[in-house]
Amino acid sequence: MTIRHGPGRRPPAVVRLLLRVLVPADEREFFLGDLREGRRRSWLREILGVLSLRFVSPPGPRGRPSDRGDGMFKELLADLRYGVRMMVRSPAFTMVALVTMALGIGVNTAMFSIVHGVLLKPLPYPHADRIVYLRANNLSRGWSSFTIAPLNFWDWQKQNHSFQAMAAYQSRGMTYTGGDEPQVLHTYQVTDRFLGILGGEPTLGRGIAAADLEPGAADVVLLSHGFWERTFGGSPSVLGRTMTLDGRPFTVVGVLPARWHSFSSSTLDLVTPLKPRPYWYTARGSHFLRAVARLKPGVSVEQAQADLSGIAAALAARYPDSNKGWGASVQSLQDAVVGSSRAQLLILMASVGLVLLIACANMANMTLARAMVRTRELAIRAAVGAGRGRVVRQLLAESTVLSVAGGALGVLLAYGSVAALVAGWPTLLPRSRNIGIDPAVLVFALGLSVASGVLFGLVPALTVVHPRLAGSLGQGGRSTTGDRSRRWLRAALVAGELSLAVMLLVGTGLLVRSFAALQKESPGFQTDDRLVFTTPLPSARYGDDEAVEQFVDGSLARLQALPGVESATVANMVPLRGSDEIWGLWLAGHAVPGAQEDASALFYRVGPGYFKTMGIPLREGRGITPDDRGDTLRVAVISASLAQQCFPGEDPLGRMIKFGRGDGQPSVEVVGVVGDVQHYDLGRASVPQVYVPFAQRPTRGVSFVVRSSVAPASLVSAVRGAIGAVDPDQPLVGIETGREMMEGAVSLPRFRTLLMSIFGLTALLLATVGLYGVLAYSVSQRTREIGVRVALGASRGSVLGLIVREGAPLVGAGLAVGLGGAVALSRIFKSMLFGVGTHDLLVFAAVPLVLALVALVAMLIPARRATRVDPVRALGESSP
Amino acid sequence: MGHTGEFELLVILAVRRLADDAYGVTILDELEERTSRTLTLGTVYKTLGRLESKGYLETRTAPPTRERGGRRKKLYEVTATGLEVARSSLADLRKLTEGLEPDLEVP
Repeated sequence: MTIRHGPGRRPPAVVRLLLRVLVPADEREFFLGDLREGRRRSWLREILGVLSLRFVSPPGPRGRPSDRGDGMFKELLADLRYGVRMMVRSPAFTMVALVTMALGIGVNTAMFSIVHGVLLKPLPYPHADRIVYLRANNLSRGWSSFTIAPLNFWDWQKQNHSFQAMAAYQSRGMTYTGGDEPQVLHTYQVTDRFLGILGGEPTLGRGIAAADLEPGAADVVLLSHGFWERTFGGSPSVLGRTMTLDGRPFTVVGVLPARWHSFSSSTLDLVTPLKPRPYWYTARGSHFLRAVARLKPGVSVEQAQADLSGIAAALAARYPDSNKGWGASVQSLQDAVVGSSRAQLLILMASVGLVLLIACANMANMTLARAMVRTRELAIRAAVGAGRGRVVRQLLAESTVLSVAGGALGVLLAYGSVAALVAGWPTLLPRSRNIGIDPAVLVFALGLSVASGVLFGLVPALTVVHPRLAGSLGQGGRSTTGDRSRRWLRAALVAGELSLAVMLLVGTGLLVRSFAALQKESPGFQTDDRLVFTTPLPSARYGDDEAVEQFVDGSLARLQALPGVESATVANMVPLRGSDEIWGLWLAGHAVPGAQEDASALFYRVGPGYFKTMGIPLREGRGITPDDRGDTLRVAVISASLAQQCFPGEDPLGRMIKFGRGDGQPSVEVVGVVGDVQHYDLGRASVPQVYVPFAQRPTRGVSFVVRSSVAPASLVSAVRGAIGAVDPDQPLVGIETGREMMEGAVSLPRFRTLLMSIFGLTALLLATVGLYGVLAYSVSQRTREIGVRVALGASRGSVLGLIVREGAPLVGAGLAVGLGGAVALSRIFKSMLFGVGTHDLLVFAAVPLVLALVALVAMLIPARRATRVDPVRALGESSP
Repeated sequence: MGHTGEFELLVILAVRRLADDAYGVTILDELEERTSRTLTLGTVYKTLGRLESKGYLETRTAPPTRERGGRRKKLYEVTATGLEVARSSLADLRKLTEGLEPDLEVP
């Protein structure tokens, strides 16, 4: 790691951080200045230079340890210095130890910085522990978390005794047409208490007032600090200016604080008032609001939950038609934001914890082996009056110096890898802007290093300091009699490492198998040669259905005329793109229509040729055609699973369904059945689908799908031109090819599989090195015995067998314990698995096989060395 | 009269040679250029600190510059005591090398 830099170049952050720790404060400024001014130098060499001055060289007059502290501290310093000297003296040992600890502590530090940033750090709002997230639910229908109907929200607001303030909000994209080109901005529509609850009081101008929510109030907008700087150069004169959003004028009234972020993972650009619409006052069954609230001081989440549940139950009794089965849930905002990533992060954190345990076992093993070699030195120390405690302290200091040095390297490793981790993690990781190596993470790494040093140093230290130690003095340090218990201990450590590695590898294997299955999973449509994009139409310019249809027809005509385009179609939504629309449906002539719908389905509004363009197979009947216009017979195509659910064992063609209760709703005739698609995620049971002609149910949320005969990405600018020709103010958002859609759908499983694979292989590597170390040491200790055997005519095969027989029980025990542990633990992976059981036979057979093979190699290397023992030399070495 | 170690002597001489432009990095460069040593800045700083505390060097700070990333520099100057110590060390050296010129190939 030699980083060269030219003169005047700023030292990297890591170097500055290290120097800040190592160089005394009164010299730091000059030192850093000199480093920056100086000729090309290696940072590593400079850091090592400073390090060696601090710890190795005799203390100068300014830093004499006897000047400060008592005897204990002096002793500790001396021990530490001795530890550093021991490191320098046996470079091979030190290298292996440093790499081992750097790996162990590095992956833990990296993982912890993520866990810390995502799970542990409180949200950056005042009294964040009192902010809660409110949801509706309908457990009888299996919906544990649902958006809230406005009438219910208002009743909760009026009747509760738990909250200081409640606020409802919605989030959506709004098209801004004042800049260079139209762009879609991420906006929140919020009620008046929203910013107060989240501590987002504007730094400039005013917030959202209750009067802004009145139906006739003028449209106002607040800018996020980032958007204000990007778009208006941070000018205070922006207040009072007008912005055109979705074709309507909005007056800028405020700017949000610089360090204030919304709790969603995407960047927030604008905040506008959430104005109730007339239909909000009539439909208690329409759920679309989200809500946050601030608990009164002293009120717990549980109390608030009980309060709100009581209110919801009363509403359900009072309005059974709309509210039967509907409840409310209160969750701390932090839990709501972190959501399902908590379990995954904790599993990954536990996995790296196992890697560190293996690393520590390895270190304990190496230190034990070295302690055996050093028995004589330690015996001398004891003989000249070092007490038992003194020797233990010294050995602990040595192991701690090693592990802290390894930990420092580990932090560098983590520093580099965290950025890559955060970048590589799909956007599904919440709060990723909080992740980084901060003081808390550094303290964690230091604590972990010291704890590891003590852990792997203590066992050897205690076995070395044996009452019979003095006996070693006379034996030239070659005693093997006292080794029996230590040898047993080393064997147990290696078996333990192997068993931990088995558990990690089983976890890895399950995820890999699951990922492979996921990749083979068909989404139900074709993804090659497809290009998808969305262009939301603003209500101000597209107020009526006719305008929408004109835009859609014009766009489709231009798209289809483009060279390289085979077909193009329109839809309100496309699978795997996050947005959805679900409607309840009633079967006509199916008993008396009750309050509850008969089924609910994803409600696709699609243009002619949608199924052909998407590559969704038509199973029965017909698809949507150009003849399905607004004034023709209302028709629908349903997915196979919906047909199965609504018309089991019957012919669905010609059956009538309704979207909505009551006689006023038009009946719709089922004219076709198509294959199911995966709308949300690959590998999850999907909600059934129903398709109606776009022309019969137009909407302003418009997506286009293009099927191409050329590479779809090459069509992007032509497609932009085609839409721009129809309406130059329409932005194109979320342009992606079908392949990219699929990539996005498997990116989270791909990433966690990759992480687990890295952890599993690290574990395998460390455990194998451990096994090799024990056997290699054993061979070196048994050289004489092997020499005798060879002299007496033992064959190569029998010598080989001798060593393999020594290792085989370790491997066997490790495998047995590890498989047992894996059987017990693999359940925790269940939520991450697809198409593979937690006790998958292939994985449980392959892991021990792979491990046994690798172990065999680790055994054969020292065993082959044993067969080459020259009896004459081996026996000659015996005289001390 | 105090005396001083070899490396300390070299540093005193380098500071003296650099006159009023003696600070960390120039001293380091001077030493590396004129002797066969490869040094780190840390080593130089350590020795400068020791010489200062012995009273052989005195320091003042110079205003920040751009190529130093807006940091000040600490300029060193040899004190009268420092000069006297260097002189006596060199005299000792000279006395000891007397008669060894052919072996040492010094003029």
